[in-house]
Order: sequence, then C-alpha cells, then structure tokens
Amino acid sequence: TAYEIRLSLVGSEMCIRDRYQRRVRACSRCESCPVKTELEGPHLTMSSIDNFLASTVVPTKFYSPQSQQAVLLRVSILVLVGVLALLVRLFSVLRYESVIHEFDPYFNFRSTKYLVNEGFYNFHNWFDEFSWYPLGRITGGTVYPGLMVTAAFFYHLLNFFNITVAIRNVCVLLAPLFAAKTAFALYLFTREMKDASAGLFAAAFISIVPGYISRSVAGSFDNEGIAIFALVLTFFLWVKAVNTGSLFWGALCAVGYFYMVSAWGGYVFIINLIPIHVLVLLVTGRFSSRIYIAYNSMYVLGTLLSMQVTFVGFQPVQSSEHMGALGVFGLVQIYCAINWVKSLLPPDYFQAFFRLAVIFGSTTLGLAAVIGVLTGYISPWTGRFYALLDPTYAKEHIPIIASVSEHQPTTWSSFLFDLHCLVFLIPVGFYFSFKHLNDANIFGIIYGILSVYFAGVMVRLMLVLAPVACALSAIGISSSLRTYIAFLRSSKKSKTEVAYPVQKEVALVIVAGIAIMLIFYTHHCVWVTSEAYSSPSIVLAAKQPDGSRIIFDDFREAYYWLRYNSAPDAKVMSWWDYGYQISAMANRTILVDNNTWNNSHIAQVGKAFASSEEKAYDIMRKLDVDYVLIIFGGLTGYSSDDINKFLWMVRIAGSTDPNIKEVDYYSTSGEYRVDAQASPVMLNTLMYKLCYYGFGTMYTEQSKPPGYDRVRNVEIGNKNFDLTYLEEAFTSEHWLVRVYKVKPPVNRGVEA
Amino acid sequence: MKNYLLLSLVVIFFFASCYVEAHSASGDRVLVVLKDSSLKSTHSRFFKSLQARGFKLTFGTSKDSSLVLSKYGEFLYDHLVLFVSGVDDFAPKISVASVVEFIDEGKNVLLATDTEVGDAVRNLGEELGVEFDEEETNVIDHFNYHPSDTLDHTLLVATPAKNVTLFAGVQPVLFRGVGHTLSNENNGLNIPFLHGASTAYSFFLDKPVGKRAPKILGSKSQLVSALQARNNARAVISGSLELFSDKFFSTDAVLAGKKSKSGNEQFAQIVSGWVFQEKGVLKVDRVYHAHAATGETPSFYTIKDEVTYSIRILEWNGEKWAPFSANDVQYEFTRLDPYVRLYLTPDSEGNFNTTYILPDVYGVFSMIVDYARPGYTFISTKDVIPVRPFRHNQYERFIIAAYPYYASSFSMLVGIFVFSLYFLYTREDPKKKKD
Repeated sequence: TAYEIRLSLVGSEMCIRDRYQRRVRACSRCESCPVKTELEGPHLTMSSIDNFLASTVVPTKFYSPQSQQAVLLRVSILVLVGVLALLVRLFSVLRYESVIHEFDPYFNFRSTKYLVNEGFYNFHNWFDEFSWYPLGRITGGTVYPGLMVTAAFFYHLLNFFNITVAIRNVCVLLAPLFAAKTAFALYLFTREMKDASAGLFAAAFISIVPGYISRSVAGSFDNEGIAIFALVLTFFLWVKAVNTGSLFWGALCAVGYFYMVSAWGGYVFIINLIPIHVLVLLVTGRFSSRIYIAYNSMYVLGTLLSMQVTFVGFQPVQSSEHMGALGVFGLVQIYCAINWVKSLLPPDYFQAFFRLAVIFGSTTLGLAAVIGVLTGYISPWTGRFYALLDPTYAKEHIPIIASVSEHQPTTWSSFLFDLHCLVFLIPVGFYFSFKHLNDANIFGIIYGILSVYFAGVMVRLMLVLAPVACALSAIGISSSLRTYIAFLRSSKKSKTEVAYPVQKEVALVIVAGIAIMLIFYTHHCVWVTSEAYSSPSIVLAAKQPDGSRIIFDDFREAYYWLRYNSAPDAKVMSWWDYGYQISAMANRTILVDNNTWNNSHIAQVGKAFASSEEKAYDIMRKLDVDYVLIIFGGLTGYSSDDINKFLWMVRIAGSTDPNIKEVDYYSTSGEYRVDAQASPVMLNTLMYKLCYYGFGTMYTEQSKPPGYDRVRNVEIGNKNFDLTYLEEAFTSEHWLVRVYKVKPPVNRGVEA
Repeated sequence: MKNYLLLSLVVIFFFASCYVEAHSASGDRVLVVLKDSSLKSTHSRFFKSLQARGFKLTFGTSKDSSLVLSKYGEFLYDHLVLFVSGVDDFAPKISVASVVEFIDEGKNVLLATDTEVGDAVRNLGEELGVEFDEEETNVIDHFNYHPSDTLDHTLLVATPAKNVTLFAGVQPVLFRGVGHTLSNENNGLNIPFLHGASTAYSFFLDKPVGKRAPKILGSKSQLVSALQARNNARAVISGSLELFSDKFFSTDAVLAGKKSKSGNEQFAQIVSGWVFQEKGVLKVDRVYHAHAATGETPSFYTIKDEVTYSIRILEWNGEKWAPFSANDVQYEFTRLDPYVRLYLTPDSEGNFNTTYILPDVYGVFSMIVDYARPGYTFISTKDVIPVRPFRHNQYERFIIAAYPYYASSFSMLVGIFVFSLYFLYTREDPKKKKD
C-alpha cells in the first residue's frame, strides 16, 4: 500500500528494530499487554510493526501489577514536591513583605496592571509615552506578553470566584506556583526519557535547585519564572511526540512552544535544540516516520503560532537564529522525497537523479541564502547570539550587552553554588543515557551538552541548564539506586547473579552515600535560597555589629519622594538600571530603562553622566530633563552603585561618541579610582559630582578622614565643589539614592 | 446729604480728569534715582514725556536714604530709572543686589551713566551682561563726531541699530559718554540699540594711545544696549546721561554732511517706552491644536494624522491688547530634532494657524512656537503630546499586493478538503497492487 511504501522509505530498518525491542521490553512485564501477542504473529513486517505502534498508545502507565498503589504514591510524592517548591520560595515574603523584586519585574508588574485595567487590546496597542522620553516605546509590540497574560488570567480567575486578591499578590506568588508546575512537567519529561522513578527524582531536584530558585522566588515576577515551565513542558511534549509519533502530541508541543514564545526570548533555544535533535537522529540513522510527523507538525504549527506574538513577528522566517529550524524542515522533506524517488527508480537512474538534485538543490539554496542576506531579508544574528557563540564578542563590540552582570561568563564556583551535587551527577546521567540509548535519551543528551556550554558562557543561562541537570542527575541517581537497592533486596536469595563477597555491604554504603549527598543537597539549596536569593534588592538588609538587622529602604523612599513631590510630567534621568523601578514606583517619565532597545539614547544619557557639568547641562536641556537620580553607596558600602557602573556608562557613551574615551577616566597608572590620584576628567564628571556632592564633609567611619568612601575604601579626591546647573533636591536616609533638580537657564544670561 | 453726594461726584470727576491712563502693560509706578537733583531740570523734557505717558514718577537722589524699592516683600515700583554714576550704591537702601532682584522679579530698569561709572553701575552692568570700560574713558570717533566738538571728538553721532524695528525712521542720535561691551553677544538676551561706527574706540582723553591698546574697538563698542531677561524683564544700559538731556534733545545732528534735528528725543521716548513695557509687548492669548477633520483636541495623536495648530498672539498697543501681526512666526513639531517646521499664517484676529500632516514617526513630540525678535517679548510655548503608531485594527484590512497570498491560502484550504475526500472515499484496487 501507499502507506507501506512511505514507511519503508522513511523509517530505517535500525530504527524499527530499536522500537520493536523497546516496546517488547516495555511490555514484557505485563501479561495482558496486547502488543506482545500481536507482534509475535506470523505476518510480522516492518510496516505492520510501525503501523501498530503508531496507532496504539502503549499503556506504559499501568504496567505495574501494584499500579494503583504506585500511582497513589507517585501522586502524593509529586504533590509534596509541588508544596515544597512553593514553600521554599516564600522566604522573601515572610522576611520582608509581599513586594516585587529587582528591576525587570517592576516593568512586568506595571504592564500587568495596565493589562488588567485597560484590557487586552489596549495592552496589545500600548504605546508608553512615559518611558524612553521623547522616543516613547511601543510596549505592546516589544514585550513578551505571556507573563502578563498569565498573571492577569489568574487574577481574573480568582476574582471570578470572588476571591479578591490584589494584582500585586498574584504577581508575587506567580513564580512559586509555576515552580511547582515545572516540577511536575520535569517529572513527565524525565519519565518519558527514562521512567517514573527517575521522574520523581527530577521533580524533587528541580523543586529546590538554586539555579532555578534564583529566578523564581516569590516576588521575582519575571519572564523566566513561567518560561522555564513552558520550556520543560515543550520538551516533554516534544519527546512524547517523538516517542509516539502522534500528530496530537506534535500539535500539543506546538502549543507549548507558543506559550514559551509568548513568555520569553529564550524560546530560540527550543527552536534550535529540536532541529538539532532531529538532525542527530537523521545522521545516526534513527530517523523514522514518528520523528517526521512530530517535527513537521511541531515546526509548522509552532512557527505559525509563534508569529502571532507581535514582538516575534516575522523573525521565525527571517532571522538567522531561526534558519536552522527552517533548514532542517527542508532537509527532512528532501530526505523523504529522495527516499521515495529511490524506491521508484532503478538504481542507476537514481544515481543520476540524485546528482542532479544535489547540484540543483544546493545552488538554489545557496543563492536564496546569499540574496536573503544581501537584501537584508534574513537579518544577521543579534549581538546576544554572537555573544553566546563567542564569549569575548560582546565585550569588544556591544558594551551594552557586556555591561549586564547576568551576561557575564559563569565562574566554576557559581556552578557549584547553583547546582551543588548535580554538577557531579550530570555525567552519571549521561552515562546511563548512553547505556540505554533511545530517541528521547538522545534529546536529553543534546540538551544537556548544549546547555552546559551556554551556562558556561552566560550566567543567566544557568536557568536553562537547571532542568536538564536535574533530569540527567535523576536518571543517574535513579539508575544507580535501582542497581544497588536490587542488591540489597535480592541478597536473601539471589537467583541469577554471582554474589560478590561484600556485595550487600558495598551496596549499603553506596546507598547511604547517595542519601547523605541528597541530604546535603537539600541543606545547601535551602540555605542558598534563604541567604542569597530571597532578598528583594529594593530593600536592603545588613547586620549591625550587635547582631541586629538594619533595613535600608532608601530606594522606595526616594521613588515615593519623586512620586509625591515632583510635577506629574517631570522627566527623570537616571542610568537605565533604575528605569523600570522609577516608572513603576515613582510614576514619572524616564529617559532610558531596562528595555535597552535604543543604544544611542542610552549613550546620550551615559555621555551626560560622563561629561562635565556644563556639557551635561546642554544634553539634559535638550532631553528636557527635570530631575537626575543617582545611586550612591559610598556611605553605606553598597557596592553596586553608579560609581561602580560608571565605566560602563563611559564605554557605552564612547561607542557612539568617539570623543568620550575610556582612558581619560583612568588615573595615570591606568587604574579606575576616585581618590586624589584619579584623573581630573573623572573628578569633574557629572556622575562624580552628583555622587559626592556634600560628601567631602561627611564622616563615614571612625579614624578615617571625612569624605571616606566605604565602597572604594578611599578618601575621595575632589571634596569642595559646588553645583552650578543642578541643585540637590532629595537625598535618602542612607544616601543611597540622590535626586537632583536641573535648574532652569539663568534669567539674565549671566551665571551666578 | 445731597451736598455730600454732589461733593463726592465733583471729587470723582476731578480725579477722573486728572487721571491719565498709563500706557505701559505692566504698571505705572516709576522710581527715578538721580546722580544729583539738578538732573531733574536738565533732563526735564525726558521726565515730562514720561509723565505725559501716564507714569507716576518718584524722584530721589543717590544720597536719599528714604528711597527703598520694596516694603513688606512687595515692590513699591514697577520701573526704575537710574541716572547715576560714581557711586557704590544707587541709594543708601538700594543696593546692586536689590536691583538685580527687582529685575529677576520681572520689573524693568533704565540705567544711564557717564564717564564716572562707579562700582554700583559697573556691578549692575556685570549682572546685566555688559562690561563698562574703565572710569574716565570716553568713546571717541574721529570720523563720526559732531561738528561742534572739534577738540576731543567725543560727541558722537550714531545711528540706532537697524535690526530693531522699533527704531525705524529715527534720526541719528548724539552720544557722549562711556562705552561698554556685551559679555556674551550670542545669548540672544542682550541687544545692541546704539553702537559705535567701525572707526570708534574707547580710551582716556588725556593719555596717548599706543602704550595700551583700547579695550573697546569699532562696532563692538556699545553706546546703548538692552537686555531682555528670560522672564521678559527689560533693562536698557546707556553710557551717556546727556543722551537724555534737554540740550541734546534740541541740538541738531550732523552725519555724513547731512544736517537734521537730532533723534535723541525720539530715541529716548522709544527706549523708555520699550523698557517700561509700552512697546513690543506680546502675549500668547491661547494655543489650540486639534484634529483637522473633527476639531477635537485629543490626548494623543496617531501618526499621519492631519493636525491643526493655532496660536493667538496679542500685542499691547499702549491702551489695550490688540492682534499682533507678523509673517515670520514659525512653528516646530519636534522630537529631539524638528520633524516639521512651518511658517504660521496670520489672520486679522491675531491667530497664527497651520494645518499639516504628522510625520510617520511615533514618539513624544513637542509643539513649539519660539518667537524671539529683538525688541519684542519672547514668545515661547511648548505643548508636549504623544504621537502613537497605528492600532492593530487601524491598518488596511485587505491590500492588493497580498491577493496572491489570499488566493494561495484559500486554494490550499479547498485542496486539503478535496484531497481528504479523495483519500477517505476511494479505495485502491487490491488487484492492481499485486502487479
């Protein structure tokens, strides 16, 4: 039949054999399984196997004789894991209050409020005139709306049932909720790769792995919080689709992918990883109709769906990052077509046809690619993508990307910090995956290898590594335990294997060792969550010498000062890190924010900060600046302040204006310093003056001269100066935030 | 009872008949501080002309300790005439700082001095953006002097600045006194009213030029200059007291062999009228912008909207606010850089209008009219308005260029339907397969 022909073309023999073995193995445990009997029939052909397998969903869930008990146990473990995932992320709420953390979450929070108040269509068309003054930002079209829509959905859902919850609380608790869901999704994913017990381990691992907790504690209302769930879910659905070869799962995978696309820019990882998986299967001769169905349905539907997200638009068919997926899509078609032709033509005809097809195909493709790139239809890779491939690229070419701390390469210590024992368990997982190689395992291996590399390039991609690290480690642990616990059990009356002398004792030691390691893992994870990842970063805490805690709430103090004391249309200039917070908390127009879409506008602001007061005044007048806000840590010792970020401002300003040279801001010995040996240019920049205005007379530490900076640990170099064009408007309690007002031009044209 | 009524009526009529309405847009109380009281008689024609225009003059000398500018935080005068030189303070209770404050609060000052200058005048000059030459220097011009001054050539005959429309048709003006320069010529606030010819210079009369070069040379030597501050307070700085004197008013001026009556009286009248806000006073009555089609003023525009902008500018004509007319009022639609810059079309009501199509650029735009002409109040209005991109449903629904795509997608739909039917309801002949 036609179906038979297609199958014989598409499915290679090896693959079918593999599947045959797999299913038989899987089903051998179940007496009543229909597969076994049918496969053992006399008319066994390749096509009938595949035909049967494709049409039958093998009930793997219920193969155990004690299935009900096992299901109950499994469900209760999963529920507990979910509860654990939720609870461990609540440290920050209990310790501080239910607030949004960090920087980006403030934008998401503000957008969610807008979405809830104005409705979806207004959100979709939202043009935000309060940010990026005077350019404005088409927020609706430059945002991944998944997070806001999800939060708004939960908000409306709760309110529909008359559970009146504030939007803020929904936003605060969304990430922990999704962490629980992620654990469940990872259970499914790992189960698809290995088995249910490995799945349970994986769920337990991910529920507390610090690499993921860092972005999903309560209050961390960020894209990643839901995107990791979407990522794992998509991978699960993909593996499921590959295993079943079902159009249904392929379509579901596309829907999961759509959710991921709507939530996070990291979806590019999926749309590259899945084609790589397909390619590897193709090369290793494991290609089959299941993969053909899964990939085609996923790619076509997924691409169409992803193009519905305004921000993504036509990128899936234009940008280089997506070309890999398109290429593999084409390759799969060509592969199948050639196999089909091969079955129709005699071998020597086919040789000629093949040669012609290759020449014609490669020239057309090459031409299309060249024309596409030359006409700009296929956009070149974005800077972040280059930075992924070449870790030194960003530092040289795009300071704005390199300036973000989470785009820095990862240190070894942070691998251990974020993954703990999983670092050592990943190879174990690789080992067991290779040992029982199948399509799903290959996916896990590729995912693991790639994400280890990416996590090494950028700190923040640790987040992508975390799920697969958990899955692989779970496979490793689960397989080892299975081996050794079997020894413990079977030692009573071993039927088959040769008993080694101290077999039971060794097994005991190893099982105990694993248990202790897992206990340490749990301990470490909770400690990291509590100490490192649960501070909201808008409220700072420090321990005083007597052990009591001191709270620095300067950020909110200053933002609320602006909110209630400046004109409603006042424009605030600050470095872009604080843009989202100012617009959300102070409700004032800002020049640049964390959505760093316009490099030259940021460079303008950087130039203002890096110039002398007089030159900066011209820039600020041009940009209609009313207030300047800076973060200064010299009094409290808060090290991520603007002086420490200042070199990045200089670099970014220098990337558009060659007159700003980084060298000018270094001392003669080439160091970046603010004391008396600093370069005069540095000591007269606007940033220096705004930070240290009035600081020269402050005593910060005993036995140190006045004007002693506690971050840089030096006495500042320029103490006595006055501001000509600005005046101090507000300085927060601990001097963390300082706000200056830009004076109007002098009335008589004569400076005072 | 009736008598009282009659009496009050008589009183009212009496005061009404005495009352001359002030011609200034900003008040009629003038304090005149004189170097010495004799100036009151030597400059009587100038003061009379002020009084005739409705100003209420209060005279005092720079030694008069009863003179104060403000009381209980309120200014007692709207304008100040300073005819002084060689003093450290304008009056015992009127310091330079108080005069500066007077200006910064929007009041006006007419300052005239002579070669004695003095610290008070010099310091005030600095605050107003001018720098006087040293004491005892004179502006000298060996080419444009008055014939009566054959010895020193310090009595100059100068023509008022041509770019200031106020001085159209004014005869050459006689000047004798100290020169000054503008500290910052390009700030747009200081305007030369009367400056020396290219042959003028400023130097001591009793010292030979040579050892020291003159500080002020040529047309940079300002004789009378004006300052209009950003708050539209006005000040006029004259290096010559005599310019306002009765004597100069009645002397003939000779320039380039042409003899005419000196323009001093006219010049003094125009200058004092300008500085006391009688002339060249503009105000914005209203600013209006809206969709051209509907006439509604929205809170934002969309790109490519047709927008009407209108500004009504009124000019003080000495009695009331009358429509201003000019052809050079420009309008800018700016987002960092101007995207639209147009001349506004005036009408008889003082409205300046334009209708234009917004550029295809979104952002927060400013609608700016910045009208700064020498001699006129600065007009500067700025309305900030966001310009949004199209909404998702404002784009064209069906475009001709996309017809092939519509056709292909619909043919695809039909095709899938037909093929599905075909595959579902046809069966291959089993015999055929065997072959």
